[in-house]
Amino acid sequence: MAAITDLSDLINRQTGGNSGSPENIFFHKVGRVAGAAATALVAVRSASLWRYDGMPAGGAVPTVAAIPDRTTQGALPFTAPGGSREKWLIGAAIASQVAGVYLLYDRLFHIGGLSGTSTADQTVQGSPASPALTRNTGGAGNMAWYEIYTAIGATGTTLTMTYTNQAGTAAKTSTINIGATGFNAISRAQRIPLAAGDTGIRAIEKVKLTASTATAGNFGITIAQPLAWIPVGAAGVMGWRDYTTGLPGIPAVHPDACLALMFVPSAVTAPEFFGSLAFVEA
Amino acid sequence: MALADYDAYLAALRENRGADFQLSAATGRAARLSALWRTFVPAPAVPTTSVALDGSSDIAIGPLPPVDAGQLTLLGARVNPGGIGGVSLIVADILNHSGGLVANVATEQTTNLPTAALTRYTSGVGVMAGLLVTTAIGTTATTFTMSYTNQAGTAGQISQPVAIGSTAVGNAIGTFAPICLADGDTGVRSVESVTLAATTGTPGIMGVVLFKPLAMIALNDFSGAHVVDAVSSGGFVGALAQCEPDACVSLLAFQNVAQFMTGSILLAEA
Repeated sequence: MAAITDLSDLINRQTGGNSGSPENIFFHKVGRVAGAAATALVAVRSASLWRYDGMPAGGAVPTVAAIPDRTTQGALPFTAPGGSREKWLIGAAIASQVAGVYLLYDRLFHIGGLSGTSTADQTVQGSPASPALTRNTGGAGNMAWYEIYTAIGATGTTLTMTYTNQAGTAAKTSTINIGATGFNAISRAQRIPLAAGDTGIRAIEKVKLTASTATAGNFGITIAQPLAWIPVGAAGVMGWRDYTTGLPGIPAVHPDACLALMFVPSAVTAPEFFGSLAFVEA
Repeated sequence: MALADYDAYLAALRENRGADFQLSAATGRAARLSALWRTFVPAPAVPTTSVALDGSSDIAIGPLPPVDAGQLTLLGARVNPGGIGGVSLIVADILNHSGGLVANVATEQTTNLPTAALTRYTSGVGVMAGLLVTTAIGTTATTFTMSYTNQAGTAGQISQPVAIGSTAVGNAIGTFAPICLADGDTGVRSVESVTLAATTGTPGIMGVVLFKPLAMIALNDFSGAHVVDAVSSGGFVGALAQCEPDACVSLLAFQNVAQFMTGSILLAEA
Protein backbone atom coordinates (compact mmCIF):
# COMPACT_ATOMS: atom_id res chain seq x y z
CA MET A 1 0.00 0.00 0.00
CA ALA A 2 1.26 3.46 -0.89
CA ALA A 3 -0.28 6.88 -0.66
CA ILE A 4 -1.01 9.05 -3.66
CA THR A 5 1.70 11.56 -2.97
CA ASP A 6 0.51 14.58 -4.92
CA LEU A 7 -1.31 15.77 -8.03
CA SER A 8 1.54 14.78 -10.31
CA ASP A 9 1.50 11.27 -8.88
CA LEU A 10 -2.27 11.07 -9.41
CA ILE A 11 -1.98 12.24 -13.04
CA ASN A 12 0.76 9.71 -13.62
CA ARG A 13 -1.32 6.88 -12.14
CA GLN A 14 -4.47 7.97 -14.03
CA THR A 15 -2.58 7.56 -17.27
CA GLY A 16 -1.19 4.16 -16.34
CA GLY A 17 2.11 5.07 -14.71
CA ASN A 18 3.44 3.81 -11.39
CA SER A 19 1.12 0.77 -11.44
CA GLY A 20 -1.84 3.10 -11.28
CA SER A 21 -4.04 0.68 -13.24
CA PRO A 22 -6.70 3.31 -13.91
CA GLU A 23 -10.20 1.90 -14.23
CA ASN A 24 -13.39 3.69 -15.20
CA ILE A 25 -16.53 1.63 -14.84
CA PHE A 26 -19.89 2.58 -16.31
CA PHE A 27 -23.35 1.42 -15.40
CA HIS A 28 -26.92 2.12 -16.37
CA LYS A 29 -30.13 1.20 -14.65
CA VAL A 30 -33.79 1.48 -15.59
CA GLY A 31 -36.90 1.64 -13.45
CA ARG A 32 -37.61 -2.04 -13.84
CA VAL A 33 -37.04 -5.08 -11.63
CA ALA A 34 -36.75 -8.59 -13.07
CA GLY A 35 -38.26 -7.36 -16.32
CA ALA A 36 -41.30 -5.61 -14.87
CA ALA A 37 -41.91 -1.97 -14.07
CA ALA A 38 -40.50 -1.10 -10.67
CA THR A 39 -42.75 0.00 -7.83
CA ALA A 40 -43.15 3.76 -7.62
CA LEU A 41 -40.87 5.40 -5.09
CA VAL A 42 -41.84 7.62 -2.18
CA ALA A 43 -40.67 11.19 -2.79
CA VAL A 44 -37.84 12.34 -0.52
CA ARG A 45 -37.64 8.97 1.19
CA SER A 46 -34.79 6.62 0.47
CA ALA A 47 -35.09 3.65 -1.86
CA SER A 48 -32.80 0.73 -2.53
CA LEU A 49 -31.76 0.29 -6.16
CA TRP A 50 -30.19 -3.09 -5.45
CA ARG A 51 -32.72 -4.97 -7.56
CA TYR A 52 -32.98 -2.57 -10.52
CA ASP A 53 -32.38 -4.01 -13.99
CA GLY A 54 -29.58 -2.67 -16.12
CA MET A 55 -25.91 -3.19 -16.61
CA PRO A 56 -24.99 -4.79 -14.32
CA ALA A 57 -28.10 -6.89 -13.76
CA GLY A 58 -30.08 -6.34 -10.61
CA GLY A 59 -29.31 -8.18 -7.42
CA ALA A 60 -31.37 -11.04 -6.05
CA VAL A 61 -33.51 -10.88 -2.94
CA PRO A 62 -31.27 -12.16 -0.16
CA THR A 63 -32.55 -15.07 1.87
CA VAL A 64 -30.11 -16.20 4.53
CA ALA A 65 -27.68 -13.84 6.20
CA ALA A 66 -24.81 -13.24 3.79
CA ILE A 67 -21.75 -11.13 3.08
CA PRO A 68 -22.05 -9.90 -0.51
CA ASP A 69 -18.89 -8.86 -2.34
CA ARG A 70 -17.84 -7.44 -5.70
CA THR A 71 -18.69 -10.71 -7.44
CA THR A 72 -22.24 -10.84 -6.13
CA GLN A 73 -24.91 -10.28 -8.75
CA GLY A 74 -26.11 -6.71 -8.47
CA ALA A 75 -22.76 -5.27 -7.40
CA LEU A 76 -21.17 -2.64 -9.64
CA PRO A 77 -18.23 -4.67 -10.94
CA PHE A 78 -14.65 -3.47 -10.66
CA THR A 79 -11.26 -5.11 -10.84
CA ALA A 80 -9.56 -5.92 -7.55
CA PRO A 81 -6.26 -4.10 -7.11
CA GLY A 82 -3.08 -5.93 -7.89
CA GLY A 83 -0.14 -6.65 -5.64
CA SER A 84 -0.49 -5.00 -2.28
CA ARG A 85 -2.01 -1.86 -3.75
CA GLU A 86 -5.28 -0.26 -2.67
CA LYS A 87 -8.15 0.89 -4.87
CA TRP A 88 -9.01 4.59 -4.65
CA LEU A 89 -12.20 6.24 -5.84
CA ILE A 90 -11.24 9.49 -7.57
CA GLY A 91 -14.56 10.40 -9.18
CA ALA A 92 -18.22 9.49 -9.47
CA ALA A 93 -21.00 10.67 -11.78
CA ILE A 94 -24.67 9.93 -12.32
CA ALA A 95 -27.07 11.38 -14.88
CA SER A 96 -30.62 10.59 -13.86
CA GLN A 97 -34.16 10.84 -15.11
CA VAL A 98 -35.19 11.96 -11.63
CA ALA A 99 -33.49 14.55 -9.45
CA GLY A 100 -32.39 13.46 -6.02
CA VAL A 101 -29.39 12.20 -4.13
CA TYR A 102 -27.65 8.90 -4.85
CA LEU A 103 -25.63 7.10 -2.20
CA LEU A 104 -22.80 4.87 -3.37
CA TYR A 105 -22.09 2.36 -0.63
CA ASP A 106 -20.34 -0.88 0.13
CA ARG A 107 -23.02 -3.45 0.92
CA LEU A 108 -21.32 -5.18 3.84
CA PHE A 109 -24.09 -7.54 4.90
CA HIS A 110 -27.65 -8.33 3.97
CA ILE A 111 -30.45 -10.67 4.90
CA GLY A 112 -34.00 -11.06 3.60
CA GLY A 113 -36.98 -13.18 4.48
CA LEU A 114 -38.02 -11.29 7.61
CA SER A 115 -41.72 -11.01 8.36
CA GLY A 116 -43.90 -7.95 8.74
CA THR A 117 -46.35 -9.83 10.95
CA SER A 118 -44.10 -11.59 13.44
CA THR A 119 -43.65 -9.98 16.84
CA ALA A 120 -41.03 -12.50 17.90
CA ASP A 121 -37.28 -11.90 17.79
CA GLN A 122 -36.08 -12.24 14.19
CA THR A 123 -32.42 -13.21 13.97
CA VAL A 124 -30.17 -11.07 11.76
CA GLN A 125 -26.59 -12.14 12.51
CA GLY A 126 -27.28 -13.68 15.89
CA SER A 127 -24.81 -13.80 18.76
CA PRO A 128 -21.99 -14.38 18.17
CA ALA A 129 -22.45 -12.78 14.79
CA SER A 130 -22.65 -15.21 11.90
CA PRO A 131 -21.60 -14.30 9.39
CA ALA A 132 -19.51 -11.53 10.87
CA LEU A 133 -18.57 -8.52 8.78
CA THR A 134 -15.50 -9.01 6.61
CA ARG A 135 -15.05 -5.36 5.60
CA ASN A 136 -14.92 -2.29 7.81
CA THR A 137 -15.10 -4.74 10.67
CA GLY A 138 -14.48 -2.09 13.30
CA GLY A 139 -17.90 -0.77 12.47
CA ALA A 140 -17.14 2.94 12.55
CA GLY A 141 -19.35 4.75 10.07
CA ASN A 142 -21.41 1.70 9.19
CA MET A 143 -25.12 2.31 8.87
CA ALA A 144 -28.10 -0.06 8.78
CA TRP A 145 -31.48 0.09 7.13
CA TYR A 146 -34.47 -2.11 6.69
CA GLU A 147 -35.12 -2.89 3.04
CA ILE A 148 -38.49 -4.06 1.76
CA TYR A 149 -38.48 -6.79 -0.90
CA THR A 150 -42.20 -7.66 -0.87
CA ALA A 151 -44.70 -5.13 0.46
CA ILE A 152 -45.45 -5.43 4.15
CA GLY A 153 -48.63 -4.23 5.81
CA ALA A 154 -50.26 -0.84 6.08
CA THR A 155 -50.35 -0.84 9.87
CA GLY A 156 -47.57 1.23 11.34
CA THR A 157 -45.48 -0.22 14.15
CA THR A 158 -41.98 0.00 15.62
CA LEU A 159 -38.89 -2.03 14.77
CA THR A 160 -36.30 -2.48 17.50
CA MET A 161 -32.77 -3.34 16.41
CA THR A 162 -30.34 -4.98 18.83
CA TYR A 163 -26.75 -4.46 17.74
CA THR A 164 -23.10 -4.25 18.67
CA ASN A 165 -21.70 -0.77 18.28
CA GLN A 166 -18.35 0.44 16.94
CA ALA A 167 -16.77 0.01 20.37
CA GLY A 168 -17.76 -3.64 20.58
CA THR A 169 -20.54 -3.05 23.08
CA ALA A 170 -23.28 -5.61 22.52
CA ALA A 171 -27.01 -5.41 23.21
CA LYS A 172 -27.39 -1.81 22.16
CA THR A 173 -30.89 -1.04 20.95
CA SER A 174 -32.51 1.54 18.73
CA THR A 175 -35.91 1.92 17.11
CA ILE A 176 -37.54 3.10 13.91
CA ASN A 177 -41.06 3.12 12.53
CA ILE A 178 -42.03 0.49 9.94
CA GLY A 179 -45.23 -0.34 8.08
CA ALA A 180 -47.99 2.07 7.01
CA THR A 181 -48.03 4.14 3.84
CA GLY A 182 -44.59 5.41 2.94
CA PHE A 183 -42.88 2.72 4.98
CA ASN A 184 -44.18 -0.52 3.53
CA ALA A 185 -43.64 -0.51 -0.24
CA ILE A 186 -41.13 -2.51 -2.27
CA SER A 187 -37.66 -0.92 -2.44
CA ARG A 188 -38.14 1.37 0.56
CA ALA A 189 -34.92 1.45 2.53
CA GLN A 190 -35.34 3.16 5.86
CA ARG A 191 -32.21 3.95 7.80
CA ILE A 192 -32.24 2.80 11.42
CA PRO A 193 -30.78 5.39 13.78
CA LEU A 194 -28.25 4.37 16.42
CA ALA A 195 -28.40 4.82 20.15
CA ALA A 196 -27.05 8.09 21.49
CA GLY A 197 -23.26 8.24 21.33
CA ASP A 198 -22.84 5.42 18.82
CA THR A 199 -21.07 6.05 15.53
CA GLY A 200 -21.27 2.70 13.82
CA ILE A 201 -22.24 -0.95 13.79
CA ARG A 202 -20.17 -4.10 14.05
CA ALA A 203 -23.06 -6.54 14.03
CA ILE A 204 -26.83 -6.76 14.33
CA GLU A 205 -28.06 -9.56 16.53
CA LYS A 206 -31.78 -9.33 15.87
CA VAL A 207 -34.78 -7.17 15.12
CA LYS A 208 -38.25 -7.29 16.65
CA LEU A 209 -41.54 -5.67 15.69
CA THR A 210 -43.72 -4.25 18.44
CA ALA A 211 -46.87 -5.30 16.56
CA SER A 212 -47.84 -6.80 13.24
CA THR A 213 -48.03 -4.57 10.17
CA ALA A 214 -50.86 -6.90 9.03
CA THR A 215 -49.03 -8.34 6.03
CA ALA A 216 -45.95 -10.55 6.27
CA GLY A 217 -44.36 -9.45 3.02
CA ASN A 218 -40.59 -9.81 2.99
CA PHE A 219 -38.14 -7.35 4.41
CA GLY A 220 -34.48 -7.50 5.21
CA ILE A 221 -31.69 -5.73 7.04
CA THR A 222 -28.66 -4.27 5.26
CA ILE A 223 -25.42 -3.02 6.80
CA ALA A 224 -23.57 -0.55 4.60
CA GLN A 225 -20.51 1.62 4.57
CA PRO A 226 -21.30 4.87 2.76
CA LEU A 227 -18.71 5.94 0.20
CA ALA A 228 -20.13 8.85 -1.78
CA TRP A 229 -23.22 11.01 -1.84
CA ILE A 230 -23.92 12.15 -5.41
CA PRO A 231 -26.52 14.90 -5.70
CA VAL A 232 -28.43 15.25 -8.98
CA GLY A 233 -29.91 18.73 -8.99
CA ALA A 234 -32.26 18.39 -11.94
CA ALA A 235 -33.51 15.66 -14.22
CA GLY A 236 -30.97 14.89 -16.92
CA VAL A 237 -28.25 16.98 -15.30
CA MET A 238 -25.13 15.11 -14.21
CA GLY A 239 -24.38 14.92 -10.53
CA TRP A 240 -20.70 14.39 -9.90
CA ARG A 241 -18.05 14.14 -7.24
CA ASP A 242 -14.39 14.83 -7.91
CA TYR A 243 -12.37 13.56 -4.98
CA THR A 244 -9.17 14.99 -6.39
CA THR A 245 -10.33 18.48 -5.53
CA GLY A 246 -13.33 17.89 -3.29
CA LEU A 247 -13.94 16.75 0.24
CA PRO A 248 -13.51 14.34 1.91
CA GLY A 249 -10.44 13.47 -0.11
CA ILE A 250 -9.90 10.31 -2.09
CA PRO A 251 -11.72 7.37 -0.44
CA ALA A 252 -10.25 3.89 -0.44
CA VAL A 253 -12.48 1.11 -1.71
CA HIS A 254 -12.04 -2.35 -0.23
CA PRO A 255 -10.78 -4.89 -2.82
CA ASP A 256 -13.91 -6.99 -2.29
CA ALA A 257 -16.41 -4.16 -1.89
CA CYS A 258 -19.97 -4.81 -3.02
CA LEU A 259 -20.66 -1.40 -4.57
CA ALA A 260 -24.34 -0.55 -4.76
CA LEU A 261 -26.68 2.43 -4.83
CA MET A 262 -29.41 3.88 -2.69
CA PHE A 263 -31.50 6.85 -3.85
CA VAL A 264 -33.40 9.65 -2.16
CA PRO A 265 -35.70 10.82 -4.98
CA SER A 266 -37.36 14.18 -5.45
CA ALA A 267 -40.33 12.48 -7.13
CA VAL A 268 -42.06 9.12 -7.17
CA THR A 269 -40.79 8.01 -10.60
CA ALA A 270 -38.58 4.94 -10.52
CA PRO A 271 -35.51 6.36 -12.24
CA GLU A 272 -33.49 5.50 -15.31
CA PHE A 273 -29.88 6.59 -14.90
CA PHE A 274 -26.37 6.27 -16.31
CA GLY A 275 -23.26 6.59 -14.22
CA SER A 276 -19.55 6.17 -13.89
CA LEU A 277 -16.93 5.55 -11.20
CA ALA A 278 -13.24 6.31 -11.69
CA PHE A 279 -10.49 4.51 -9.78
CA VAL A 280 -6.73 4.33 -9.56
CA GLU A 281 -4.52 2.00 -7.59
CA ALA A 282 -1.77 3.03 -5.20
CA MET B 1 3.51 5.93 -21.94
CA ALA B 2 1.91 7.77 -19.05
CA LEU B 3 1.91 11.47 -18.32
CA ALA B 4 4.83 11.82 -15.93
CA ASP B 5 3.47 14.70 -13.89
CA TYR B 6 1.41 17.87 -13.85
CA ASP B 7 3.83 19.66 -16.19
CA ALA B 8 3.46 16.86 -18.73
CA TYR B 9 -0.32 17.20 -18.45
CA LEU B 10 -0.09 20.95 -19.08
CA ALA B 11 2.17 20.32 -22.06
CA ALA B 12 -0.39 17.90 -23.49
CA LEU B 13 -3.16 20.45 -22.97
CA ARG B 14 -1.10 23.09 -24.77
CA GLU B 15 -1.16 20.93 -27.88
CA ASN B 16 -4.79 22.05 -28.05
CA ARG B 17 -5.93 19.09 -30.13
CA GLY B 18 -9.67 19.13 -30.32
CA ALA B 19 -11.90 16.55 -31.96
CA ASP B 20 -14.82 18.67 -33.07
CA PHE B 21 -18.54 18.18 -33.41
CA GLN B 22 -21.55 20.26 -34.32
CA LEU B 23 -25.25 19.44 -34.16
CA SER B 24 -27.61 20.53 -36.92
CA ALA B 25 -30.64 20.71 -34.67
CA ALA B 26 -31.68 20.69 -31.06
CA THR B 27 -31.08 17.07 -30.11
CA GLY B 28 -31.82 14.83 -27.19
CA ARG B 29 -34.65 13.67 -24.98
CA ALA B 30 -35.70 15.09 -21.67
CA ALA B 31 -34.04 13.07 -18.92
CA ARG B 32 -33.33 10.09 -21.16
CA LEU B 33 -30.38 8.77 -23.09
CA SER B 34 -29.94 9.74 -26.73
CA ALA B 35 -27.32 9.47 -29.45
CA LEU B 36 -26.12 12.90 -30.54
CA TRP B 37 -24.45 11.72 -33.72
CA ARG B 38 -27.72 11.43 -35.59
CA THR B 39 -27.69 15.22 -36.00
CA PHE B 40 -23.95 15.70 -36.50
CA VAL B 41 -22.83 18.05 -39.27
CA PRO B 42 -22.25 16.72 -41.86
CA ALA B 43 -25.16 14.30 -41.52
CA PRO B 44 -24.04 10.69 -41.17
CA ALA B 45 -25.58 7.99 -43.32
CA VAL B 46 -28.36 5.88 -41.85
CA PRO B 47 -26.75 2.52 -41.06
CA THR B 48 -27.91 -0.69 -42.68
CA THR B 49 -25.56 -3.68 -42.57
CA SER B 50 -23.71 -3.94 -39.27
CA VAL B 51 -20.24 -2.49 -39.69
CA ALA B 52 -17.33 -2.13 -37.32
CA LEU B 53 -16.52 1.54 -36.85
CA ASP B 54 -13.27 3.43 -36.45
CA GLY B 55 -11.97 6.97 -36.39
CA SER B 56 -12.79 7.48 -40.06
CA SER B 57 -16.48 6.65 -39.62
CA ASP B 58 -19.00 9.39 -40.29
CA ILE B 59 -20.34 9.35 -36.75
CA ALA B 60 -16.87 9.88 -35.22
CA ILE B 61 -15.79 13.26 -33.95
CA GLY B 62 -12.45 14.34 -35.25
CA PRO B 63 -9.78 14.72 -36.17
CA LEU B 64 -8.10 12.53 -33.59
CA PRO B 65 -4.46 13.35 -32.95
CA PRO B 66 -1.99 10.83 -34.33
CA VAL B 67 -0.64 8.33 -31.84
CA ASP B 68 2.84 6.90 -31.89
CA ALA B 69 3.96 4.76 -28.95
CA GLY B 70 1.48 6.11 -26.43
CA GLN B 71 -2.26 6.04 -25.89
CA LEU B 72 -4.99 8.42 -27.00
CA THR B 73 -5.96 10.25 -23.80
CA LEU B 74 -9.00 12.38 -22.94
CA LEU B 75 -7.84 15.70 -21.49
CA GLY B 76 -10.99 17.81 -21.45
CA ALA B 77 -13.68 19.48 -23.48
CA ARG B 78 -15.02 22.83 -24.54
CA VAL B 79 -18.69 22.67 -25.43
CA ASN B 80 -21.32 25.28 -26.16
CA PRO B 81 -24.91 24.20 -25.53
CA GLY B 82 -27.19 26.57 -27.36
CA GLY B 83 -30.01 26.86 -24.88
CA ILE B 84 -31.10 26.55 -21.32
CA GLY B 85 -30.89 23.12 -19.73
CA GLY B 86 -28.09 20.94 -18.49
CA VAL B 87 -26.40 18.18 -20.46
CA SER B 88 -24.56 15.06 -19.33
CA LEU B 89 -22.22 14.17 -22.18
CA ILE B 90 -21.14 10.57 -22.47
CA VAL B 91 -17.98 10.16 -24.52
CA ALA B 92 -17.91 6.68 -25.99
CA ASP B 93 -16.06 4.50 -28.46
CA ILE B 94 -18.81 3.35 -30.83
CA LEU B 95 -17.79 -0.15 -31.87
CA ASN B 96 -20.37 -1.04 -34.50
CA HIS B 97 -23.86 -0.12 -35.65
CA SER B 98 -26.58 -1.43 -37.90
CA GLY B 99 -30.08 -0.57 -39.05
CA GLY B 100 -33.16 -1.88 -40.77
CA LEU B 101 -35.17 -3.07 -37.78
CA VAL B 102 -38.79 -2.03 -37.52
CA ALA B 103 -41.05 -1.26 -34.58
CA ASN B 104 -44.38 -2.62 -35.77
CA VAL B 105 -43.80 -6.35 -35.53
CA ALA B 106 -43.68 -8.56 -32.48
CA THR B 107 -41.63 -11.35 -33.96
CA GLU B 108 -37.91 -11.93 -33.68
CA GLN B 109 -35.96 -9.70 -36.10
CA THR B 110 -32.53 -10.55 -37.45
CA THR B 111 -32.24 -7.94 -40.20
CA ASN B 112 -28.59 -6.88 -40.53
CA LEU B 113 -27.71 -9.00 -37.53
CA PRO B 114 -25.63 -10.43 -35.95
CA THR B 115 -23.56 -7.36 -35.26
CA ALA B 116 -20.14 -7.06 -36.84
CA ALA B 117 -17.31 -8.66 -34.89
CA LEU B 118 -15.73 -6.35 -32.35
CA THR B 119 -12.37 -4.94 -33.39
CA ARG B 120 -11.72 -3.25 -30.03
CA TYR B 121 -12.62 -4.47 -26.52
CA THR B 122 -13.04 -7.81 -28.20
CA SER B 123 -13.75 -9.74 -25.01
CA GLY B 124 -16.93 -7.73 -24.62
CA VAL B 125 -16.27 -6.91 -20.97
CA GLY B 126 -17.81 -3.52 -20.27
CA VAL B 127 -19.24 -3.27 -23.77
CA MET B 128 -22.83 -2.04 -23.77
CA ALA B 129 -25.50 -2.59 -26.41
CA GLY B 130 -28.47 -0.42 -27.25
CA LEU B 131 -31.28 0.11 -29.71
CA LEU B 132 -31.08 3.37 -31.67
CA VAL B 133 -34.06 4.95 -33.42
CA THR B 134 -33.02 6.44 -36.77
CA THR B 135 -36.53 7.04 -38.17
CA ALA B 136 -39.29 7.83 -35.71
CA ILE B 137 -41.18 4.80 -34.42
CA GLY B 138 -44.71 4.68 -33.00
CA THR B 139 -46.18 6.23 -29.91
CA THR B 140 -47.46 3.04 -28.32
CA ALA B 141 -45.23 2.00 -25.45
CA THR B 142 -43.84 -1.50 -25.50
CA THR B 143 -40.69 -3.37 -24.56
CA PHE B 144 -37.97 -5.17 -26.46
CA THR B 145 -35.41 -7.83 -25.69
CA MET B 146 -32.15 -8.68 -27.41
CA SER B 147 -30.55 -12.05 -27.88
CA TYR B 148 -26.83 -11.57 -27.45
CA THR B 149 -23.50 -13.24 -26.85
CA ASN B 150 -22.03 -12.25 -23.52
CA GLN B 151 -18.48 -11.44 -22.44
CA ALA B 152 -17.78 -15.14 -21.86
CA GLY B 153 -18.78 -16.07 -25.40
CA THR B 154 -22.10 -17.59 -24.33
CA ALA B 155 -24.62 -17.12 -27.14
CA GLY B 156 -28.37 -16.95 -26.74
CA GLN B 157 -28.40 -14.73 -23.69
CA ILE B 158 -31.68 -12.82 -23.47
CA SER B 159 -31.73 -9.32 -22.08
CA GLN B 160 -34.32 -8.14 -19.61
CA PRO B 161 -37.20 -6.30 -21.32
CA VAL B 162 -36.46 -2.62 -21.93
CA ALA B 163 -39.13 0.03 -22.54
CA ILE B 164 -39.35 1.79 -25.91
CA GLY B 165 -41.97 3.67 -27.90
CA SER B 166 -44.34 6.44 -26.76
CA THR B 167 -43.29 10.03 -26.50
CA ALA B 168 -42.55 9.65 -22.80
CA VAL B 169 -40.23 6.69 -23.10
CA GLY B 170 -38.87 7.59 -26.51
CA ASN B 171 -39.87 7.22 -30.13
CA ALA B 172 -38.04 10.07 -31.87
CA ILE B 173 -34.87 10.01 -33.93
CA GLY B 174 -31.86 9.64 -31.67
CA THR B 175 -33.70 7.73 -28.95
CA PHE B 176 -31.19 5.31 -27.51
CA ALA B 177 -32.24 2.47 -25.22
CA PRO B 178 -29.38 0.46 -23.71
CA ILE B 179 -30.21 -3.12 -22.85
CA CYS B 180 -30.40 -4.59 -19.40
CA LEU B 181 -28.18 -7.63 -19.25
CA ALA B 182 -29.13 -11.10 -18.12
CA ASP B 183 -28.08 -12.15 -14.64
CA GLY B 184 -24.35 -12.43 -14.21
CA ASP B 185 -23.31 -10.82 -17.48
CA THR B 186 -20.84 -7.94 -17.58
CA GLY B 187 -20.74 -7.13 -21.27
CA VAL B 188 -21.71 -7.93 -24.83
CA ARG B 189 -19.70 -9.39 -27.71
CA SER B 190 -22.47 -9.39 -30.29
CA VAL B 191 -26.22 -9.11 -30.74
CA GLU B 192 -28.02 -11.74 -32.78
CA SER B 193 -31.66 -10.61 -32.75
CA VAL B 194 -34.18 -8.11 -31.41
CA THR B 195 -37.77 -8.88 -30.41
CA LEU B 196 -40.48 -6.37 -29.54
CA ALA B 197 -43.24 -7.45 -27.18
CA ALA B 198 -45.81 -5.58 -29.29
CA THR B 199 -45.99 -3.05 -32.09
CA THR B 200 -45.38 0.63 -31.39
CA GLY B 201 -47.84 1.42 -34.16
CA THR B 202 -45.33 2.72 -36.71
CA PRO B 203 -42.44 0.82 -38.28
CA GLY B 204 -39.85 3.56 -38.24
CA ILE B 205 -36.27 2.30 -38.44
CA MET B 206 -34.06 1.14 -35.60
CA GLY B 207 -30.61 -0.37 -35.31
CA VAL B 208 -28.29 -1.99 -32.84
CA VAL B 209 -25.24 -0.18 -31.49
CA LEU B 210 -22.40 -1.64 -29.43
CA PHE B 211 -20.32 0.88 -27.55
CA LYS B 212 -17.73 1.27 -24.80
CA PRO B 213 -18.22 4.34 -22.61
CA LEU B 214 -15.06 6.32 -21.93
CA ALA B 215 -16.04 9.32 -19.81
CA MET B 216 -18.90 11.48 -18.58
CA ILE B 217 -18.76 15.27 -18.75
CA ALA B 218 -21.11 17.63 -16.92
CA LEU B 219 -22.38 20.71 -18.73
CA ASN B 220 -24.32 22.00 -15.77
CA ASP B 221 -24.18 25.74 -16.22
CA PHE B 222 -27.36 25.47 -18.25
CA SER B 223 -26.17 27.64 -21.14
CA GLY B 224 -23.07 29.19 -22.58
CA ALA B 225 -19.55 27.90 -23.00
CA HIS B 226 -18.28 25.11 -20.80
CA VAL B 227 -14.57 24.49 -20.45
CA VAL B 228 -13.74 21.23 -18.72
CA ASP B 229 -10.32 19.82 -17.97
CA ALA B 230 -9.05 16.78 -16.15
CA VAL B 231 -7.63 18.55 -13.12
CA SER B 232 -9.14 21.91 -12.28
CA SER B 233 -12.76 22.04 -13.36
CA GLY B 234 -14.37 18.91 -11.95
CA GLY B 235 -17.38 17.46 -13.72
CA PHE B 236 -15.24 15.10 -15.81
CA VAL B 237 -15.40 11.51 -14.60
CA GLY B 238 -13.18 9.35 -16.72
CA ALA B 239 -10.69 12.19 -17.05
CA LEU B 240 -7.44 11.04 -18.62
CA ALA B 241 -9.13 7.88 -19.84
CA GLN B 242 -7.18 6.20 -22.58
CA CYS B 243 -8.75 4.79 -25.70
CA GLU B 244 -7.65 2.92 -28.76
CA PRO B 245 -5.88 4.95 -31.48
CA ASP B 246 -8.48 3.93 -34.07
CA ALA B 247 -11.45 4.55 -31.76
CA CYS B 248 -14.70 5.87 -33.16
CA VAL B 249 -15.06 8.56 -30.52
CA SER B 250 -18.59 9.90 -30.46
CA LEU B 251 -21.20 11.26 -28.10
CA LEU B 252 -24.32 10.17 -26.27
CA ALA B 253 -26.11 12.41 -23.85
CA PHE B 254 -28.48 12.39 -20.94
CA GLN B 255 -30.16 15.80 -20.97
CA ASN B 256 -32.63 18.06 -19.27
CA VAL B 257 -34.01 19.25 -22.62
CA ALA B 258 -33.04 18.93 -26.28
CA GLN B 259 -30.08 21.17 -27.14
CA PHE B 260 -28.10 22.58 -30.02
CA MET B 261 -24.44 22.00 -29.27
CA THR B 262 -21.05 22.61 -30.78
CA GLY B 263 -17.74 21.77 -29.23
CA SER B 264 -14.53 19.83 -29.02
CA ILE B 265 -13.26 16.94 -26.97
CA LEU B 266 -9.59 17.53 -26.16
CA LEU B 267 -7.28 14.58 -26.68
CA ALA B 268 -3.56 13.98 -26.82
CA GLU B 269 -1.09 11.16 -26.92
CA ALA B 270 0.07 10.11 -23.47
